Amino acid sequence: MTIHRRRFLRGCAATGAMALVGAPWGVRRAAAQDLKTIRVTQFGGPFQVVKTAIGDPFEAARQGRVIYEVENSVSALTKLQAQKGNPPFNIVMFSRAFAIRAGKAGLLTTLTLADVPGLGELSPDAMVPGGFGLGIMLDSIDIAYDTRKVSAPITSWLDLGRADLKGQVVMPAAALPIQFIVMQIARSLGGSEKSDKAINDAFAKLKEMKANVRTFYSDPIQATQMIERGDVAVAVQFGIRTSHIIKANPHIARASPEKEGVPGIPYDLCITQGSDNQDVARRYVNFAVRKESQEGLVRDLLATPVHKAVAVPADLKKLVVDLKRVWFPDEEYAAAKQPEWSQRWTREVQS
Amino acid sequence: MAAGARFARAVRRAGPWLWLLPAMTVLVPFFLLPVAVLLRNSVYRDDPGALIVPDFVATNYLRIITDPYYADVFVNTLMVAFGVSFAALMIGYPFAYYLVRWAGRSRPFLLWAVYTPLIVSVIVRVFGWMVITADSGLINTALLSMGVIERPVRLLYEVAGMVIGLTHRYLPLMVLPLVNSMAKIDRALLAASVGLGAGAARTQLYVVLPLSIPGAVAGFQLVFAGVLSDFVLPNLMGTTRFRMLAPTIYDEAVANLSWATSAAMAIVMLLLVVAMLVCTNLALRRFAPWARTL
Amino acid sequence: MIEVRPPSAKGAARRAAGSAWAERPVDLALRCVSKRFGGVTAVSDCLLDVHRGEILALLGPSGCGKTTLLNIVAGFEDPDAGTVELRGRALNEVPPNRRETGMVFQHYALFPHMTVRGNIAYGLSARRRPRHEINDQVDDAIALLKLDGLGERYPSELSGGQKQRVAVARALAVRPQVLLLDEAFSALDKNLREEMQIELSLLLRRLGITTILVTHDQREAFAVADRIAVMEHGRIVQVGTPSEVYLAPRSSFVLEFLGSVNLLAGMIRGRADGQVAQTASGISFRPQPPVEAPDGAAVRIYVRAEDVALSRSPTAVHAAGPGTVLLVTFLGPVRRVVIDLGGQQVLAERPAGETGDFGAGERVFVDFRPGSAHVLRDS
Repeated sequence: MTIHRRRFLRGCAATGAMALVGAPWGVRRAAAQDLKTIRVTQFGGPFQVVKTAIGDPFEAARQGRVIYEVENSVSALTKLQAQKGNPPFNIVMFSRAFAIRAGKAGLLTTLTLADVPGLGELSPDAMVPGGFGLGIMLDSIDIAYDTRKVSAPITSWLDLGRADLKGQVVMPAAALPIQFIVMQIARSLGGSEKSDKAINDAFAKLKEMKANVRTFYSDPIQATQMIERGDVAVAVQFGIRTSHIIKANPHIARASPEKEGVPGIPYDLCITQGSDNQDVARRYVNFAVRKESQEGLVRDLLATPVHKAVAVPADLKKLVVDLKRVWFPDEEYAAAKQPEWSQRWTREVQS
Repeated sequence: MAAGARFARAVRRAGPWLWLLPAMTVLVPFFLLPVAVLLRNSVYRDDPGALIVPDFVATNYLRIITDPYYADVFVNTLMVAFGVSFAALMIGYPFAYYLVRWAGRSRPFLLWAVYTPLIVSVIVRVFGWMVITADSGLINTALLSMGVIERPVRLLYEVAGMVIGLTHRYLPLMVLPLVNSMAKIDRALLAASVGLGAGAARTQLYVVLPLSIPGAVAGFQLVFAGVLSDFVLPNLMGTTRFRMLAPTIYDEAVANLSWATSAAMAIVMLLLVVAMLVCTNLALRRFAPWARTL
Repeated sequence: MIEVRPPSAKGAARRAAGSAWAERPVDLALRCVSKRFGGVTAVSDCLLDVHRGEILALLGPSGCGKTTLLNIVAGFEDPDAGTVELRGRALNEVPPNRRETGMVFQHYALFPHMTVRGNIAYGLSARRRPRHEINDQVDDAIALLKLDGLGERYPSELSGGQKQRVAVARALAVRPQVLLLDEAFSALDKNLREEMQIELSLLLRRLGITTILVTHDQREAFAVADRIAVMEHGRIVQVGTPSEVYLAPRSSFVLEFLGSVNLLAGMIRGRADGQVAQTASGISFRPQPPVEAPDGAAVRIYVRAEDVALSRSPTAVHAAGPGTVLLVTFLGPVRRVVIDLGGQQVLAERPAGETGDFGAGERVFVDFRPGSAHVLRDS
């Protein structure tokens, strides 16, 4: 009797334990066991959704197993540089300037046209120059503004210098991609972003705008907090983050100046030099730009897709940046100019 | 047998050094090596195309020393480090004295209040300070509603906000050594002073104050070094218009990808900390020679 | 408390010697001083006169309230009741820094951040004396306490004896009306302690400074003090010269606290020719003076170890059964013999030569002079 009861209890415990941990894990492991694993970085925060939009379907389609790690472009580049030849990731998500830099430093493998069969369905700038990676979504730099606090809607980048916005603007500090803002101002002033004179004019204009700037932020979340709290009326902010701000705050609008446009920043997937499972990595990159994945990124991340056939649903139209408003800076040129401009920004603009 | 004995003797001789092993396994790879790498990088050359190129040049250091922009950064940072250390001393000294001398049952609570900033992540605390010091934050809302001010006082994203945050962050590092040094003061010394005819003020000035100097110096060193290398608070609560050292190094490395320059700046920062430690220790030795024997 | 009748005829003469102090003016007077800490009575109803130039020891076991009493004099504690007067001035309302007292603390409490000179000058600086005067007085104190050449040293660089000298110099430099020594010798090694006791008692007598010495060490009190106040449970139970309190203890506590004492159980047997006390082991003697106790009353008989006499053959006076020697130890000037006497241990201290030939296991007859025994009735 005792023995029976003990055996019964033991059985119960085992079943319970299996139900709690063992079973789902066991099942999952059984399914994933024969799949090769790749490590992929993403930017964290809202970007966590790449797992449900890309990683989970990828695994369900038995293409490979994905482990995500949170790295921004800087930290990922630092780690690749530090562990040259034995990279800690198979695929790194870079904003484009970093993809080019990392590629030129020999940290990435190159993709050929044959590696991306569906390239024709993607927007023309999707491939990183030099084939160092493939853009899977577009972010941009845009302007968010509090409709209750401005006398007139923001319709131009030059409105940042408007007299009624004294102390009401936040702008990024030099550690963020300010080179695009410099280029944008040069364009808004009617010049070419590749002309030194136009860039000088842009810096002169930015210096004028300084009086309006409440602060230069080094973490994008600061801009979000300040405009949501009502400390400022206008924030120069990343497009995707702007989408999330206006989604949560009906009184905040996106400027996306119609004539001048906004600079687009492709976020690229880059396969690291010297990592294993390169075939799985290439499959993953292609999987990320497939129509379903792209729809997922639009829906969950409010990112602008690179797939031409992906239409933004009507209810999200107001939140997601319209591709028609986006222009693409010459990233190689920007990367080359970046140290100089960044230095000018620290000394002339944000000082 | 002989080999065994020899081994045993070797172990016995190595015994005392084995105590250092755990610390060494952490310090050597995670502190000494990075500093060595930093030192190496600081003489390399920045290349816009390919990050950093091996070389042996002094240009990075020359640039830091000759460029007035960096001079500003160093002056700003040293000023803030001195200011915050001084503020922490002014706030921490009476607090520590009350804690040691008068706080009876409230002592654990007060000590806990000092420790909390060490326990709670600095990011969490910064967000707390943001809520309080923002233009629409608690302080400004209160002052506005009382009619003390007409428009918000700018604290957050200004030097003031950063100094508030830094002072709060580093106050425990000032208070704890002070409490330690004050608690070591024998009560009989106070009785002796009073018994010899000194009043409370004289006792405070000539007995308690000098005897808490070692604690104050230790606190000053900790706070100063902390502020000098603080990255989070200048970044999240300060302003780019008042450049601090650590964010500048970060920008140099991240925005400009000038790893060599940033490494040189980091080395200079390290040297500043070392110089401060040497100076304060020399001063202590000169003006409080008795402190070494306490 | 148990009162003991003075057993000695010489008592009167000794009292007279003690009262010689009475002719001097009273420097410090404690009147009915009491102090409680929470529910504990630390000092209770203390009456004490300390005369000018006198060295008075407050002697008692730890926790008897002697340090509290000293702190009350110094002003570090406020009495709950009673007054303290110094040269006729009531001190109760005077803060400690305005009382002209000098204190030497148990661990000296030297300021570690000041040199020897700095320590000695401290009280003078606090009194805002002119600099040259301070220098002169510090020089005097240094010379007085033989601290020459140590003026610029820090306390951590001094030996224990030097520290004590500095502490005394510091306390004396302010020319206090009364010097307070709180267990001032207890931190020293035995030899140094005795040396310092002699040196300090000579110095204090030469200076003629009124002194209160707190100690739990009977030898120290005897070695340094003119008079001794024995304290028990916060009360002063007896005041007198060392010989008075030793030879004429007024209570069993004083008796037991001073020296090593044998306690023997006994009873009173009335006889036609007078009262006789008999110990359980059979020693009979006539108590001097007689005890107020009926025949057959149980009594306690105290005999100091040095008053116990030993012999190989029964003695004439107190014939009784012999005991057995358990242990003989050499204590320098005396030998201590532990004897089993009818199941009770008796301690005898005899000059070394006298007991040289006793050995463990030997039979020995125990005896004492009738006058040296203190007989108390059991309460």
